[in-house]
Amino acid sequence: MVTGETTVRNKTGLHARPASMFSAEAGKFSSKITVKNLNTDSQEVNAKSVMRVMTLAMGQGTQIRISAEGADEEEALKSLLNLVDSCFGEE
Amino acid sequence: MIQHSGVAVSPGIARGKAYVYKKHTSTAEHITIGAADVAAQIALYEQASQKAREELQAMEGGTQEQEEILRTHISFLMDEDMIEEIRTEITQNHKCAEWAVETVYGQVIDMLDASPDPVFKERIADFADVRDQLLKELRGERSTGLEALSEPVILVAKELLPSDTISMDPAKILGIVTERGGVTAHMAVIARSLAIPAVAGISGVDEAITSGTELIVDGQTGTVYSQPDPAILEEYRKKAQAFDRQRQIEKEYLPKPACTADGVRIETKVNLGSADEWELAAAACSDGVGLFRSEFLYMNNDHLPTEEEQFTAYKAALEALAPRPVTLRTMDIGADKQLPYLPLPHEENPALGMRALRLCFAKPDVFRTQLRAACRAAVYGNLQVMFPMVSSVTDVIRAKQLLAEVAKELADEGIPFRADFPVGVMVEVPSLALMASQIAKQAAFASIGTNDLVQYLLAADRDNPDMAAYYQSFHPAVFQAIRMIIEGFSAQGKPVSVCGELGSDPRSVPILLGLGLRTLSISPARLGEIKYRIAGMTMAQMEQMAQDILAMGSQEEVVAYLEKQPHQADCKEQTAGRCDNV
Repeated sequence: MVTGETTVRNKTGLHARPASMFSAEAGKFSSKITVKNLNTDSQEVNAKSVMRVMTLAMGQGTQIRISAEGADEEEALKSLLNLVDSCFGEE
Repeated sequence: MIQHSGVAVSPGIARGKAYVYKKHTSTAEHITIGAADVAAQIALYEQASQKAREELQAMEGGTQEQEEILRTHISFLMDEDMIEEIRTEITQNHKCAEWAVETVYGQVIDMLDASPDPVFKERIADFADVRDQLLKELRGERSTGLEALSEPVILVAKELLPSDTISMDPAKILGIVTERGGVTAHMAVIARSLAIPAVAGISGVDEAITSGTELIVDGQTGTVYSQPDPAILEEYRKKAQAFDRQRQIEKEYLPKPACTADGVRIETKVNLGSADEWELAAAACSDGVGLFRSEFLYMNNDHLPTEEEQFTAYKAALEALAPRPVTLRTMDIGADKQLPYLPLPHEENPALGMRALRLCFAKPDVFRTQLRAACRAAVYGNLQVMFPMVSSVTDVIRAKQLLAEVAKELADEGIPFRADFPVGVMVEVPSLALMASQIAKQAAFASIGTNDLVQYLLAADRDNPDMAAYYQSFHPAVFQAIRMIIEGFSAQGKPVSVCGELGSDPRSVPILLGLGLRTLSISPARLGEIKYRIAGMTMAQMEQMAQDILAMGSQEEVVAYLEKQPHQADCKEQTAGRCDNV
């Protein structure tokens, strides 16, 4: 299993559009992928579920941890971290 | 007449008859099913979900926002965890499909409702909307009725969900009034993208107003009048005309390069205060960013912005505008702009004290962080940097020295950067006008911050209401100072622009251009209007105006003179600037 942490920087956080992008990206991989809101010490939720991702209410400045486990775990983690760090193409 | 006050969420003025849109509330049937019915209920749910998805896929989002909403809703329907939970409600808790959908969506909505962040609360509308679609499909009901409006109306509702706004025909909607929703709610975003005036935040509006009532919606002030008096009707008839004319002008002139009536090209740049998506979109029709107020990174924060945070913000703006220039003004903190996390000693005269560049010199680490971020971002576009509150040649030399040190540091660390960009000064302190040619030897350009220049030139506090009579933006001395700066910099072949409010005021723009300015940096909202104003006069007319004003002795004289100038609004037929041939 691999894990990585980053900070949500885009202005509105992981709301509708970024959350859908995030889950859609996670859905491209076969690994089991979870995400956790470190600020609220939330549960780890299925990153492939846009509903789960949104209910973590990860606004701007939220520290998050992404974990992936499976055949393509390295790739999955890298690509999701990149997506968050790129601010989902906002600004 | 009854007047309702709400929040203006989409500009414009609408007049028409109300259509009060009330939806049947979606309460699901609660039936406990037997084990034998589980498979059938799951099949029902799956069919409903499939149908809802097909319906969403068949809808056409007119705007980008609507497309995104459709995609988001489809992703909810296909969410593997939600599907699983709904199935569990049916198989294990023996709930009928309607009840199961209501339960699971209800849990998500409750969780979002508990979020302190309003952005997430607003997403409740999306989940409620998809839930209602599913319930509707499960009951085999047909849709809303908004798509079948026979005549244009002002839509009044407790709340408009994305599926409502998507199903409505924009041509039939004159205006929108709701109880729920704010500036960032779906309704507001859609209303703005369709240029429909809208007001939100009027509680009980769907009860207070009945269908067929005559309404006026003022999307500028957030006011809604029901059964307006003749006087109000007349007032708004004029306001609506002025707004339409303004919007027409803006639409026509916004995408064009700004040119005087005799074809002299004027660079029109914009001032950015947050560099968010709205601002960057507005900047698309400009010649670049003449003032990038970096303060937002410091003020909307609970810590000094890190090099990475600044780099990301600068890079994004540079990439969005490239190859056009972005002029970064370094940290302008102090005086009226204080940071809670960076307490500064109390000063008797903060406007004459530790602010902007002076504060940067006092806190070199903070300044270096910003300069490093700027040099690194410079790789990604056309950067210019200017320093605020320069009062002497020494200031410029000292700031440039720090910049050179930072560049050497980055080179030593092997980090990609550029430091060969133009470095200029912001002119706010009158001393720079008096010795403009000396400053021009050290600075690549000057940008005149007229708001502070007026305050310092006339010794009148811009924030003290008792000094308002002394704070005279049209004092002839202001134009004399601007003339001196232009002369001093032009002699060295260095450009000058204005980024203060005088540059965004249609009355002063001809004077500034007449004095020799060829670059203005203005609020993005004024771009279309100012381009239109520029196109209305020839250079010779503007030069004559400037000469006349320089010979005057008081603001009163200047204002009286400007009032006598023919108003552009009265001579709309004049030829527009002929940039296409230039």
